[in-house]
Amino acid sequence: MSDLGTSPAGSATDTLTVTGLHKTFTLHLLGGRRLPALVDVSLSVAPGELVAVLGASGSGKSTLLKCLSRTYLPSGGSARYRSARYGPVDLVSAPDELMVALRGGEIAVVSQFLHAVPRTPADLVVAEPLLRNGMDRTAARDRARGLLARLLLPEALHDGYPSTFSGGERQRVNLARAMATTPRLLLLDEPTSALDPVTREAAKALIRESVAGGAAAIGVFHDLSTVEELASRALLIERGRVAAEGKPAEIVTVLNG
Amino acid sequence: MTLLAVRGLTKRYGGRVACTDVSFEVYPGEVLGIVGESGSGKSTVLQCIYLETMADNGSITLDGEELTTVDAMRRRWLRSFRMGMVHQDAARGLDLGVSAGGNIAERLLAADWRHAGRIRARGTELLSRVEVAADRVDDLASAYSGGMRQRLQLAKAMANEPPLLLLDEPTSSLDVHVQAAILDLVKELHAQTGVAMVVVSHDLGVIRLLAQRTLVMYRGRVVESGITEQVLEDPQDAYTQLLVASSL
Repeated sequence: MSDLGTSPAGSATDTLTVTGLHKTFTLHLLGGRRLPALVDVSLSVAPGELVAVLGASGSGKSTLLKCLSRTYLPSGGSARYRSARYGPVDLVSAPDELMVALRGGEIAVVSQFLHAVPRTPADLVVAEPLLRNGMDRTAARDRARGLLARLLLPEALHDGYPSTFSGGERQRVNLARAMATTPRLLLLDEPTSALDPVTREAAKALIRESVAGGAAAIGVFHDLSTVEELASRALLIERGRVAAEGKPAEIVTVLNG
Repeated sequence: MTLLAVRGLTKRYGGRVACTDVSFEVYPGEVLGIVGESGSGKSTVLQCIYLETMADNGSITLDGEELTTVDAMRRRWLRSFRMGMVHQDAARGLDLGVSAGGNIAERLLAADWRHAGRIRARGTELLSRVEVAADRVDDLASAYSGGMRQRLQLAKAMANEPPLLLLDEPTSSLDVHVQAAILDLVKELHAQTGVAMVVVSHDLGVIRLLAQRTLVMYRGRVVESGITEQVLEDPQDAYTQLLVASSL
């Protein structure tokens, strides 16, 4: 199995060290049925590193990312994140208001689907985290439009409403918003799944640049060539556990075999 | 740093418990949602904070000041300068027999504004911030539509720039397109002023749009609290799971 088992605490310089993370859903509407989604996941991510998470659908990949962003409430384990502003923070047990603050700046979440805020133009959706962090309106909007342009979103759509956009256009708004605050930890759940080959390259370039600039990233990608291009390491998850860890090409081979 | 701290708040009306042992904090500049069905006690919590009704037990502090023991004069001052309220029923927040400008002037007079011309100019400025045209300033509040009355309540509540705004079902009695416009305005006011808000609503859409954190109340108790997205995507309590499953 993985070499993580020998050093569950990770290295002192890692941005994120996850140890024994687990998550069980309790469905009260189904008579309290319990659904274990993550059983035992440990991993670490260093600055400048993208770790890809692979596995069949239903294996727990998205649940892992959602537990780290606290979109889901983890059932146990720990996820020690080294915050630039707040010092070491356990994302499993951090107070809600601290998680809100981290997600508004240091930690970026790109989910597969954007829940489009109604009646808000795309550039403002992207600029919003910047405005919340006190950036002046013109500067924030300029940065937002710059990011949207890099992701090849036509200028005519910059002040359009994402709720009327196609899946690929929304996904680019989503990614631009996540990148706006120059995050230190990226949680990417299929960030390029709805993009055509040209815009996918633009999105990959943006992610690559962010990681090269020192961000730590965990990503789920349905496209295995993206994994091999972007990731420095990969994990294979099976039934909520880490089944293998290694170089992306090796894990892709395990997955295909 | 806590702006508002509610601890063990309990309120009974006769033998009926409206809310019991409610505790939470509001931090400067954040929007906290309180969601629950009618009768869950969520509006009672706001009324206790705004000192419209007195808590039976518990403590409410605003910037460290205990609110449950203040006298009538201090209460009036707190409501002018430290918090504002937007009611579902505008008749509770406005004097409908007085002009829009007059409703706002009342708050400015409380702040020792004495010059009639300046009061009028400030009233017009506040109304323009909530997108009410200058030529409607002298109209009676009773002549305003439902959406306009909510705008006027917002202008009045914000007249003296309080750090805390309480909104009780601010859009529940409005047509859908008017609801949308008022919610956009609330978001815009929050972005511009950074005022902290407590928003009470039975509508998960309103909560999702406005609140970063959310409390869920059921039968007078807080049954769950969390980041809004987590409460909606991974509700823990049986009641919240039913609420989310019913509305999405």
